[in-house]
Amino acid sequence: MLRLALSLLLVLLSTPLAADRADEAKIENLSAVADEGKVTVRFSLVNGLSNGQMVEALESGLPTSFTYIVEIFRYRKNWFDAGIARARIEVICTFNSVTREYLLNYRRDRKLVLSETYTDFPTLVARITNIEERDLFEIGDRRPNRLKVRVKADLMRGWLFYVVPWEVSTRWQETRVKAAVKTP
Amino acid sequence: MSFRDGFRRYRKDPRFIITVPLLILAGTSIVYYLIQETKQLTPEALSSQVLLFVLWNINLLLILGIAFVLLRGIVKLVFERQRGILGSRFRTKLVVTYIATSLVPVIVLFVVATDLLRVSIDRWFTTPVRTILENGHAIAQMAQDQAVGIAAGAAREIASTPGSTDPEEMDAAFVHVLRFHGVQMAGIYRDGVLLKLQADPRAPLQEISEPPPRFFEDVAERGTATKIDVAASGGTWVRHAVRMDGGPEVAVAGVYIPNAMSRRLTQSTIEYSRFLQLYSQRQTLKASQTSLFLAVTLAILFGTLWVSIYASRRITIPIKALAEATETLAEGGYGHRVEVVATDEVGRLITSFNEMSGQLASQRRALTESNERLDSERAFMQTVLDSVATGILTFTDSLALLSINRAAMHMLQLEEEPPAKTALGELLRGDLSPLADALDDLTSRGGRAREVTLIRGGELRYLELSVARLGGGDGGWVFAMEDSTQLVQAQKLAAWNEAARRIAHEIKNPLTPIQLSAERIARKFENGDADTTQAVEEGTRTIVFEVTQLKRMVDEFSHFARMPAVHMRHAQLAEILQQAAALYRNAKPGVTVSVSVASDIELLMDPEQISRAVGNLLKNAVEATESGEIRVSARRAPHRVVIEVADPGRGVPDSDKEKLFLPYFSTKGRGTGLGLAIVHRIVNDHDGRISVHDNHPKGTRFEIELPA
Repeated sequence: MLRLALSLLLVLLSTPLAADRADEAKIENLSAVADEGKVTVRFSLVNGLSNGQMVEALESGLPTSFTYIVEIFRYRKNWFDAGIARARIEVICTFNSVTREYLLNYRRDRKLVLSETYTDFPTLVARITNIEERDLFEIGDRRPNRLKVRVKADLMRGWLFYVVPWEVSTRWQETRVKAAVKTP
Repeated sequence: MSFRDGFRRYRKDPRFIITVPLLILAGTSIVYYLIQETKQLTPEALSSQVLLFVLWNINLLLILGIAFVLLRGIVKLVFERQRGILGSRFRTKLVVTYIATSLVPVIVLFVVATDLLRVSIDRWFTTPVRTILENGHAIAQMAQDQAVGIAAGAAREIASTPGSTDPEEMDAAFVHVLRFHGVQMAGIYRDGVLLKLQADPRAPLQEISEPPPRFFEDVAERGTATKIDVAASGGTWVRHAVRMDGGPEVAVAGVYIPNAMSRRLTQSTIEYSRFLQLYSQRQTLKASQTSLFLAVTLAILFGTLWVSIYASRRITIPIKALAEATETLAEGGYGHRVEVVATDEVGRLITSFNEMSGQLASQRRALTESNERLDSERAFMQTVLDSVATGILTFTDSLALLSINRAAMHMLQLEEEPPAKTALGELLRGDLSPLADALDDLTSRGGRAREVTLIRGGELRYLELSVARLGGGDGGWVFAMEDSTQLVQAQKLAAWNEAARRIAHEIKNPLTPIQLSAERIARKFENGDADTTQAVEEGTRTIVFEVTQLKRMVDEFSHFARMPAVHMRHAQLAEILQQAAALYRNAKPGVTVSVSVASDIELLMDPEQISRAVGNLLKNAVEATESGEIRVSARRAPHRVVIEVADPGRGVPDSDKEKLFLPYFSTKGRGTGLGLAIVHRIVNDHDGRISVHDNHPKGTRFEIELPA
């Protein structure tokens, strides 16, 4: 009886997880290139707006934020990684239903870097989900091939049993830092 | 005062317990607010987020508080139960009952209330409301789209005007679009800079700013762009741009929606947006309301839990104190008081307990004092008993030893004091068994005194026993033993001295006439006297007579020495006394013998021996009486029968009374002195006692007491 109940509970818990996995938001096309001691990071958020609730919130005029956490660290096999730097990139969108414009504020480490308005939703989505941060980290004389960059996106907040809050985030995606190819 | 000391001092202060979490909550809420503020949220969203955070933290604090109080209480109760602390089981039951009675209704109420709340929130977004708002919004959008269409038509016409570089043609085109398309403004931009503008003078053109560079970038990218601006007057400008053919210029046409219409369109749009915002936040709304309910529920549970533990402690503390006091009392702690203050029934119970404990203590003191007094008296008595020469033994009714004094131990030659409750047969065995038989006989037959002869360690001992019942309590027996060995030996020595003297005297008395007769016969033969024959006859007769006397005396001695054993049987005393008296009724002229005895007195005795004893007394009485009546009588007395022989003779001097029953003592000139000794021996063999008294008005009275 206990086994049956546990199995049922496992099935109930695993079903929504499995369902979510198909259109799961994730970080793709992550690249990190080091050039002259500075690292440029590029990545894309896939399925970031596949969640109907998120689009709903965005279209309603609520400020909707996409927060990207970017970390660079020294990878050490069989030992703890050594963190070097961390950046927080926030893209906050607010739709003005009267003027039909999307206000996009782009912040890095809580400082406003860019504020733009968009009238075209696909352009807006492309701007939100495709991030290119030039010279995001300074690595000095560190050898790039020993470093890694990882990224995750915090998308929205959900509620468990209407009581316990939890953040909907992508999984960490990481890549090795590559040295820039010098062109003659 | 260090931080640790301060924490120890205030950690149980309710103000400290309440204030510190509230301060932490307030601090974290402010930090959270500042963080959220940077996210450019709307005031409603910001307040909602902060409220949720505060509620969540309150819930967290309450859950932690409940968990702490509950776990602490459970751990304490488990430890107390394991250590067997009194009252822990009762407290456990109380707390469980409190929690169970409050937990179930509170949780049911929480579940029902939150479910109702969620249902009611869902009802806010029912289809009719949504439809109305959507339709209003759609109408507003259509109105805006219509304005956009008009502006787009006008812009396209301007952009498609051939020869757009000709100012006159452009003016004509502007007039045409203003007049026929119904737009309020038309213009041409190059690189974001206005080249030409024509507008309806009634439209508030001054209220809108120039389009931003992004507007022209969109036109450059996609060929067209639309911009909607709300003017300060409340009207709405709808501008549409189209890239002009073959050049960098951009044709822009604008439609102004007047204030009255624009406000309504804007309101519809805003309200619909608010509806959508609310709808998209419904989960958060439910969460905030559920959290609020949860906070209230947890607060109630926390309060109930705290109150239950506090109340159970209030109830169990006096009960625990009472239980512990009862144990203390049971372990002998008389006078122990319960100092816990209680005002209810338990308080009365404590008062009663304290009174009872006090009474027990005072009674215990009195009992102890009484016991000490008894011990003192017992020690005194023991000292007295140990100091007397008489052996004293006390036994229970079942003849188990209670006490024995030092003299008794010495008489019985016991090296150690036997343990209490030793049985009589076990204590007095072997050489001492005659004593045990005598004691057993005395207690079973009701005798009072007995002489016992013991051979202990090769020594002959004469003990005189007397017995008496112990008064009060469970009864029992007390035996007194007098060691009369030396006395008896002295008496025997004296008696033998007397006997030797008497025997010598008795032998000497006939020897003198024998000697004289023999000397006379010899002298007559020597002298040849004529009366020799007569002298021989007379002398011979005298010698024969005296020798006969000597023989009779030897026979009596021999008879005394060979007293037969007693053969006890039941017999009528009257018959025996009558037979004995009959022998002496006519023994002496002027002397009569009368017998007065009840015919129903039956005794366990040797009839021949008793008859002989009474006969000896009567013989002495007849010899001592010149004339008068000798009375023989018998009467019943408690546990005995008393036989009396009284004569009106010359009596016995007091100095002779002590020696009267010794062998060979006689007050008569020619007696053997064995008659009364034989009587004394017969009476002793019957466990009886014989005594001599003066008879009134004169004479002697003998009393024989035989056990009945």
